[in-house]
Amino acid sequence: MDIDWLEAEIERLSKLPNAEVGVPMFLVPEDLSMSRPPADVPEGGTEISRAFDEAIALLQARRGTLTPRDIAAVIEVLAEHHLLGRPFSSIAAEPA
Amino acid sequence: MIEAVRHSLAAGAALRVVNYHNTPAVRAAQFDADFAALAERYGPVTEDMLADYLATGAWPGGRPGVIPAFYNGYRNNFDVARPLLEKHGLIGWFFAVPGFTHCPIPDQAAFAARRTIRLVPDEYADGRAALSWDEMQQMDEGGHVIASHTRTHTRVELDDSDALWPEIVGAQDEFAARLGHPVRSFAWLFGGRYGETELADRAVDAAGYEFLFSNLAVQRLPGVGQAE
Repeated sequence: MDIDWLEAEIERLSKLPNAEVGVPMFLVPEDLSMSRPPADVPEGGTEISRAFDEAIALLQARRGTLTPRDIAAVIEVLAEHHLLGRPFSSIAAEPA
Repeated sequence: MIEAVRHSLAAGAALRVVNYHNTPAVRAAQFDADFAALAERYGPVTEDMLADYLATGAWPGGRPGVIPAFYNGYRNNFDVARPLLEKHGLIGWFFAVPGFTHCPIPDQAAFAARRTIRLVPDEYADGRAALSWDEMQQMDEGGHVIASHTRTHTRVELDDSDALWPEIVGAQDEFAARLGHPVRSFAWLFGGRYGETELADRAVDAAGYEFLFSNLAVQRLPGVGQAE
């Protein structure tokens, strides 16, 4: 991943007609009703957590302190590419 | 928050959601393709399944779930998205706005324009753009999730109790009266997580919501387990 690609993807996704298309997202699950030990994390993380770390580092280097909106934009890019293993926004264009 | 996101992704625990708003008929083929692709990989999610997942970290039945979430309570969600979801075996989560539903049809466009609810121009000949209570009841009884997205979709200051309470608690009162039961899930307009603003937390507690959807998290709220 490079920062120019990441910025371009953030820009591209921001220009989709989000009022009329699906926007994939990953959300952090939290159960505040009980105390459960944190889930085990494999050493070195996963492909997507490594991509998240890389994207956050690249964006911080370019923009400085990130806002919640920046973090959400990074997650939207990851979800766009990782939810189905191919870009979610291109599904409708695939041959039936 | 970055650490919480990193941990959930590293643990493979992040919840998969696809956020929709309008689902107009002119884009039906696109939604059909979306839902078909989602259903190939993921299963439907009920609120009980979400509670189990948040409590145990495992999906009931072992198949990971996906939540297609529909915001603002549009009529086209019932007419277009609902049958396609059912075709593909998915459960829709419809975050509706009671004030939009109550609004007289001639006033719905103006109501929407004042509250950042985008409409599809000239979509229905009769001008009704909001879900009706009958449509919500049908989806509720049909196994979909009806949830709260505030009472009027109006942005209020989080320290303004007089404005906050009707948006959070008042919405729940209306759902309970019209659906015959309170709804379990609530989504803010603009983000905040439980634990960030005491007054908002108190209102969410008073309304009896179980799940809070915000920009980056889904939280099962404290007190839920004690009531069970």
